[in-house]
Amino acid sequence: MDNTIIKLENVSFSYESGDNPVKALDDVSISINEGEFVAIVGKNGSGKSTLAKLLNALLLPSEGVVLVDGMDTSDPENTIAIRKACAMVFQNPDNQMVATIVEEDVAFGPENLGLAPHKIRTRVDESLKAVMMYEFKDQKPHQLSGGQKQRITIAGVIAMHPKCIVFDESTAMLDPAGRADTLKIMHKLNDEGVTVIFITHYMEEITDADRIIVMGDGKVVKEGTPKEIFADSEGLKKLRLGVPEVVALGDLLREGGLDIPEGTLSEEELVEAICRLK
Amino acid sequence: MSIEVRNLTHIYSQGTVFERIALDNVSFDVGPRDFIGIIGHTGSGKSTLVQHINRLLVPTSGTVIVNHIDINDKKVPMKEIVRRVGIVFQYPESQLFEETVYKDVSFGPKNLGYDDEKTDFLVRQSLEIMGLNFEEIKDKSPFELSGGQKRRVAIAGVIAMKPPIMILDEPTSGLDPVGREEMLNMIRDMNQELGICILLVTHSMDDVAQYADKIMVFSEGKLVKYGPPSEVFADSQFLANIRLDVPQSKSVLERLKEKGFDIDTSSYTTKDAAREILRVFGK
Amino acid sequence: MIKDVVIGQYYPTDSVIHKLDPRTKIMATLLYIVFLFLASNIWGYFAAMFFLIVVVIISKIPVGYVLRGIKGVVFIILMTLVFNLLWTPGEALYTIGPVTITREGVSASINMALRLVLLISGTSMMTLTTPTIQLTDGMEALIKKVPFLGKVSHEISMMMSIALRFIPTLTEELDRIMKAQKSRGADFESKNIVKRVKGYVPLLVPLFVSAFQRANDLAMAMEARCYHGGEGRTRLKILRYEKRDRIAYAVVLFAMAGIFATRFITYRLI
Repeated sequence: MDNTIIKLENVSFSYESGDNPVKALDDVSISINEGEFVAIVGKNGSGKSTLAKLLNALLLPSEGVVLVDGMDTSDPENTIAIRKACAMVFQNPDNQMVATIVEEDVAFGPENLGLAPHKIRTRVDESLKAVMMYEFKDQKPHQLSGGQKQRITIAGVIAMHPKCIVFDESTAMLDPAGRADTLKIMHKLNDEGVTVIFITHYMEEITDADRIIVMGDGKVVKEGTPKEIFADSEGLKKLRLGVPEVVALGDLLREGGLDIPEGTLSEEELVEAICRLK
Repeated sequence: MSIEVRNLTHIYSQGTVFERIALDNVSFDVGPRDFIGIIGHTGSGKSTLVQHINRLLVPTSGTVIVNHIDINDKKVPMKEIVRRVGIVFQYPESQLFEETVYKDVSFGPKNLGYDDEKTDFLVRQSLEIMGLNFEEIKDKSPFELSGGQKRRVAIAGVIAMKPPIMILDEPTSGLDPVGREEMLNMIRDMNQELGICILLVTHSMDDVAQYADKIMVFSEGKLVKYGPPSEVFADSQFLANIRLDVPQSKSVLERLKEKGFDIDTSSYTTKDAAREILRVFGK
Repeated sequence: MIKDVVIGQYYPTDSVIHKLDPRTKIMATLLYIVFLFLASNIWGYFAAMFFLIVVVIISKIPVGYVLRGIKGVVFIILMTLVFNLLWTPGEALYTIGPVTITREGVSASINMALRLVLLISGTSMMTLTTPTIQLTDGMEALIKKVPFLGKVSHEISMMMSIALRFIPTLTEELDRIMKAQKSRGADFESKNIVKRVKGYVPLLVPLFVSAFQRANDLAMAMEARCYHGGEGRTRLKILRYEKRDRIAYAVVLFAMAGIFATRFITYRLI
């Protein structure tokens, strides 16, 4: 059986701005398999967020087809099923919370799905435990830190038992500790079989991704493993992106005449590579 | 312009059950034209500190002297303080409110009572410092700009007041990697070319390593380290204890030393680290 | 700061009043207000006060908290007291210069002041013993029973709950914007009224822009979590009347009958 969960075929998206339509996405085709960890990067305004919203039927393509778990997003009959299959975590945790009590907020999704109260209870408890926030269940969201709030919104999404979660710059507003926690949870979910699509500006966060998709001006510019993508620092710079500091250091050493293999992504790998040259 | 902070303590909701010591007996000096990086975890006191430098918060005890003026002296009007210290909060684009970019940037100079001619000059200059084309942008509504442009206009609104001291709280958050670098370079230019004293509050060790002359490290309301980067990063064990990382390049050098390389681990920027490793290999 | 306002904020204890169904508490409060207005003499207020004191004792909430709500309206209470005292015509008690204090005036002012104090402390008992989320749930359930309004009960309670959720967020935001504009030399303390009103533009525009942005984000986040109105929606917690609620209803009705009965007491204290 085909295990594609997300499929975009020649998708374009335009929105009206003043008189002339602006093309945010231009003929994009992407296919993502179940269980993958895919990172999407690109400069501000490259169409990443538009792409994310298409995967959840929050936006519908102007041209082309978006299939989520085999369902066409342009058919309104599918909307709820699509949003249940492919959930979304946004950037600002404050703007995603509905309820004044943590556990009520986590319950919001399952409540919308019309589950029986005892089932909602089980899901709320297990989701809060999954993000290590169970002991905060009776607190008010505004008393928590940014990272804790984002963990609550993730719990709210997990409680809907999605097959796929899109993280749309979900680490951008957090401090390093909050970012590290969020990233850890994303990988844990991925290990449990959830497909993760992660949009971010932080290159250090995606060295462990299965695949990186680079966007530029509404198009897919590049696609490959982190090793392949970070091998070309110059190209990334032209797209207003960078490389993790370790990669930059490796590049400098290679330029200086040391034989450091391209695609050396972590401190450990770099140190090992240098030791081998001794 | 120099800053002298002495025994500064700030306690929130003193005398209630919500009492929390945000700053605990902090003292330091900042010289004119310094570029200071302020680092620490959320809740370490760094945001509370910077709000004391221009009287947005009043100390529970202690003094803040900016260029020989005690800024908590009631006789000193707020205007005299904001003339000396500009502050750019996190996500400054949320403070834009005027119909045009020109009007918004001129808000500060107008409040200081500058005439039209001087205001015009300042608006033009500060937009250009932020890398924006004055003629192109001045009549646009700030709300129709892109996120990055909004950020620059908002910062220009503070620069336009020509403060000799500028505080910036996480000015790069949400920007793409090149946008971050451009922003930091502009801040460096303000410091080196215009002689503005910069206090940069950030979470990024790499940023302070590459840009700051001196670093303040805050932890649990205390100023636990203050000195040039080489000194602050020298004790990586200490930083690890308060859950802060050293820049990755530095940590690579330290790992190499552990592996038996005869290597100097004092470099902390990518370039210097690369140079040191190449030196060891005789290249 | 604005954040520190605690009037009527939930005060958790393990009392039986806290455990009551929110609908019971809302209905009891409504009945209490109605009967407070039906009371026609000081005996009625004494009866209501007795009832309220019993409730406060059972609830284990410190009296200071209950009275805190009155602090905000002390001025209004004093005003009504003075007005009633001075301008009620009737049988003269004392005359000091041009001012005549009448027997009716004394009685009316005491009654009015008592009524206000009882009204405010009574309603704050409801908010002190019930978390906001339960209050909105309770109101939703009760509004559902009201003809016409029943159809939009979910929307009304959703709006109330979102408003409560965003008050602290927007308060923080306002604080931040205010500090940012102050640093740009904005003057919020000018003695000149025109200047002062104009000074609020740099605060209100950003606040509204941000509120709209947040509303937009929230709507999208809610949709993404499969929100599609009240239809087919279930709840984590379902309201269910217990034995204690039936007892509470009986006690409240009995007390209200007691307050009403005082109308027939003709003995005057003053």
